[in-house]
Amino acid sequence: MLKIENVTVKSEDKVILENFHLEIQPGEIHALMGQNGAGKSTIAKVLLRDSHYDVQGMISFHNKDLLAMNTTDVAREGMFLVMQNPIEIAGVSNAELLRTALNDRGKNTGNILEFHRELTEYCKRLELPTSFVHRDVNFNMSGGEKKKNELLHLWMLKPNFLILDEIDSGLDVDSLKLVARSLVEYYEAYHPSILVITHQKTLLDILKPQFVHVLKDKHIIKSGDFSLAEQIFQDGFGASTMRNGETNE
Amino acid sequence: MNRIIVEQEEVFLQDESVFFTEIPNSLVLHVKGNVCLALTSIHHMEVYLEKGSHFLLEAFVFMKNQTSKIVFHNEDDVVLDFHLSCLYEGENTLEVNSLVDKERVRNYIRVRSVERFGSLLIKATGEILENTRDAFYLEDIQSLTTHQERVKIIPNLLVSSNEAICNHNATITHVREEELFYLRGLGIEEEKATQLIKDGFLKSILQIEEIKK
Repeated sequence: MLKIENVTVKSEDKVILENFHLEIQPGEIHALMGQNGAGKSTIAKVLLRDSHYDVQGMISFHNKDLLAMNTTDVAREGMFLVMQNPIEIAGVSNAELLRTALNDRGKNTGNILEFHRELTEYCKRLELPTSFVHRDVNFNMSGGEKKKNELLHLWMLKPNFLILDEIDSGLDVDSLKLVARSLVEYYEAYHPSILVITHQKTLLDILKPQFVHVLKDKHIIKSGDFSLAEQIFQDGFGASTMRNGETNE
Repeated sequence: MNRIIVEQEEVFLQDESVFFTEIPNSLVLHVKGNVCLALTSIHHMEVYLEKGSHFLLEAFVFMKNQTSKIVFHNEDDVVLDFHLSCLYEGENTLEVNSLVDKERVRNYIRVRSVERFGSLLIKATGEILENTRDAFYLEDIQSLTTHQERVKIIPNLLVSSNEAICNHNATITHVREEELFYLRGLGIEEEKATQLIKDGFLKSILQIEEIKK
């Protein structure tokens, strides 16, 4: 589904990622971990074709050359990024945004009542007031409301590849549980691939990624199963950042 | 609010709320008492605010290859509250002038413009003459565009009195790349995303003005 091979990413001539490899198959959940500034959010934005980055190498998504696509094309192929700090857009309501996005994806929203019913239903599931349908996108919302609002978009657009860039940052315990539960429900309903970027144990404990990768020195230095994440939470990145095959001796 | 098509070139308004759905290319307006006026077009207007009047003028206009000018003449004890929200296409010029040489005048002039396609030159001039006493003058102009070079704002404050507080703010805002990236990340075409942001800017201004009222 997603294949990243030997990718180098530069921004203003500064190399952020180098020799970066990652492969994600349909329905797999991968966690990308690493210290602050390691470049985790960069890979998320590169995949969504943020034009600020100069990218060399090969990335294929659904067997198509992702580097030949623009941001709109990638999103229409099913990729969806939940940003660490979702953007506020004054004057554009959730309903207006989602109707435009769905129409642009060729999904007919002609039946306004059905569209509204579905949207209010997801609001309730996310414990958001139904007035959120007409609220401006992320505008004047708390950190928790913004993340839930992003999930509202997720449920409506039904992407097949999720990138969760620290979706758990700034959430209180109850909101985090609700967000995690909603993600699990989405996974069970649609089996998307997920790339989750996080520093928190709680989210990973609930999502249970099958693959965990450690990003350091501009590329993935170690990969493993969920036990690697547990090791990182227990011992920190120091002990866990020995490359595959390395030992303490 | 009465909806009126104006055909004559000189109109007298006193203590009323009206909505001019159409106006002639050139209009002279005399305002007395408390008057609230809504407009959907402006070409050339001269507005005379009589002593003690309080004038709320709300205009939402679409300009297309147009030159418009509005001039306010203030008497003593006048309050002018002018909000202009403008959407434009083609090459346009908008001039807003206010002449103050009296006592206890309050002028609040706010212009918001959003580009569809094209350019706009905004000239806003406040002339606060020597005889003015105890006056407050505010000029606040904001413009949202995709091409910064297509918008030009010339704010002029010509103040000859020592007894006036005068402020002006002129801001040209570009459509933010982060907003475009966010919307395109939901699968929306760049052109539609830009339009959503521009329409949203105008709507949010209208919502704020509504809440204030």
